[in-house]
Amino acid sequence: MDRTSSPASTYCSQFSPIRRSQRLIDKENRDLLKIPPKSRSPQLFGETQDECSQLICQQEKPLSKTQHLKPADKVVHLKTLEKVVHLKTSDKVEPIKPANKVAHLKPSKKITHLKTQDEGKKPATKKLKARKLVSPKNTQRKRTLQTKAKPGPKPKQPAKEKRTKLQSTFSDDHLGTTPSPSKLPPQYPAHFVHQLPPVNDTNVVPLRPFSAPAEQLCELRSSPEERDLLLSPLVFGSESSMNLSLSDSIAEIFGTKDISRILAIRQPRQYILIEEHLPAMAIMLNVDLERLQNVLDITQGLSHEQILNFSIKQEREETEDQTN
Amino acid sequence: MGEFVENLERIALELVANLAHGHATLRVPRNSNTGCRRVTYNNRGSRHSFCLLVYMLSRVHRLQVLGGSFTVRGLYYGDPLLIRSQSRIAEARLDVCRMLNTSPLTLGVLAASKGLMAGDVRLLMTNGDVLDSSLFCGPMTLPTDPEKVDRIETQADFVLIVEKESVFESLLSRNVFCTIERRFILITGKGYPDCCTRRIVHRLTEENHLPAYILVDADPFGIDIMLVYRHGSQAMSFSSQGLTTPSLRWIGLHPSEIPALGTGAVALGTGDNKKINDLLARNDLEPGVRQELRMLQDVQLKAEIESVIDFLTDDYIPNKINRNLFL
Repeated sequence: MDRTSSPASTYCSQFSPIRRSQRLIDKENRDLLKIPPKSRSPQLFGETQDECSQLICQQEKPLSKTQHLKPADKVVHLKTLEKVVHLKTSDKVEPIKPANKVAHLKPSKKITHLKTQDEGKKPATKKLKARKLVSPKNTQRKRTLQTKAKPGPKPKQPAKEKRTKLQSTFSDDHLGTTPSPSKLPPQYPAHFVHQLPPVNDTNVVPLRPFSAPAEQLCELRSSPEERDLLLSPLVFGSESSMNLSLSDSIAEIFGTKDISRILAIRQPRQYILIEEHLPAMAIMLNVDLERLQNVLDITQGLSHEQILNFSIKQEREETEDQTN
Repeated sequence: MGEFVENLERIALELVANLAHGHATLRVPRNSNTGCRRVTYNNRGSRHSFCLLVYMLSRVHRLQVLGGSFTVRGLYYGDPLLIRSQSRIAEARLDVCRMLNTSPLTLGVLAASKGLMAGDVRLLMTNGDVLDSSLFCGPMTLPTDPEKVDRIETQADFVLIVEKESVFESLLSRNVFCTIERRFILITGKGYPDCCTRRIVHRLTEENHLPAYILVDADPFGIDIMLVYRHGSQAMSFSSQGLTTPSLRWIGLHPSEIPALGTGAVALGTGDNKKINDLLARNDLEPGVRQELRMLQDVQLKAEIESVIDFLTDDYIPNKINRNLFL
């Protein structure tokens, strides 16, 4: 019998004329509304979120908020000469059929030569975030500059194996407790004959609190050595301390630092490159922006097989030219 | 089985003998073991109850001889004109259990299970089926016939019972199995537990040797629910064997902590105070429980589990267990 519908529990409080049962229902509804919408069972977590690397390029406004999807998500700042740019694809990465081509947006007239820009103008920091759902190595490189947001639902993880059976005697019951002080009274009445004193902080087994973004971000802050490495000559006047090297940036995007492995992608992938990100791409690749645009124009007209074969042919031709 | 069949046939012979003398009467023991009450065909007010009682006796006899089981709901829909309502046939079932001094589960007369379970637990059924809680998309409903569970496999360290389904679902939505770094089994009986839920809890503590903790509201009915798990139902005190968990540990909410944690505490009503008096009149109360009931009576406030829901998984439950703050 569900007690909430029992008429015996009805009462009239001096503060509210609402019946207890209704009050209980309202309170439960309010509490349920407060609970983040994570109604999925733990078993449903994780499967779709642990995909392999995808390049997500998303155009963002400079002051727009960014969200942490999960602690495992990676947020990367990619730097240009004068601004920090995140490359993200706004759409999903989907496999292309062999007949499809790798497409890119046509260059627009808005793109200007960065070499002339950086001489006169002050650096405008423009932080965009690239998200990546894999590569646990790079969890260290989270950035605190972005706006904190609630982490998404955690995948169900099996309990740690370091568990011991609770004994019938009342001595070894130790669950993890939070580092923060407990809200329980330090002393209970005498009829709690088995009570123990409050657990010291040193004895606390660290829990995984449901939401502790501050701690997670502390863990993910880059070390001073990493920050020094990130301050490459390419970055001029940047106020951000998150300067990733090119190889690290590529690793963030593609999930590996091995360029040959990236280029030898068997399954065709489609990346949507926003034209505003072309300058950043040019800097990343250390090429002239016009040359990059020309290359993209050429590749746009090629099929996937042609692209795979093109580089090898070109190398052979170059080597042949050199020998000749 | 043989004992029940003999008792049923004896009852039937006594009834036939009474009919020969013009009395169509069955005697049903009372809960309090103070005599019996008469259910007679001769009295127009109890005539339908008499018919249902005889009907139930015949069905139970057939179950004992041929085997199998049935549910109250199934019986009702088998002949709704005769039975008229499920509550009437449910009352007849209890009367038969009183007459035979056993539980409905033993007789094979089942009710739809309403308990839910989640966590590290697998139920191995007698027919070879395995109910693995981890494979369910959400909590697992307890099987209707717990006697069909051959054995229970678990690596859990303890069992946690919560009174209300809303708290159960709230804990699941807050990833309680990740927050509390121990494997455990989470169970709810959705209020007053049915026999199936109590049976499963009993088996987990007895067969798997798991400590069981319970979390109920700090009000008289919550404490009563805790006592049902621990000592059995007062209405079915004749059939408590195998359905009780005397070692159950009540970890909250305790009325003594309402002043400290009682955000959202509300005043007791007339029904609450009457319930407290009924509970205090029992002679099987533990001293700590009696103290808590007296405190509840003194402060005249009650609180729900929802009042500590914000720190329930990361503070209240772990520290209550760690510090042995149970009764």
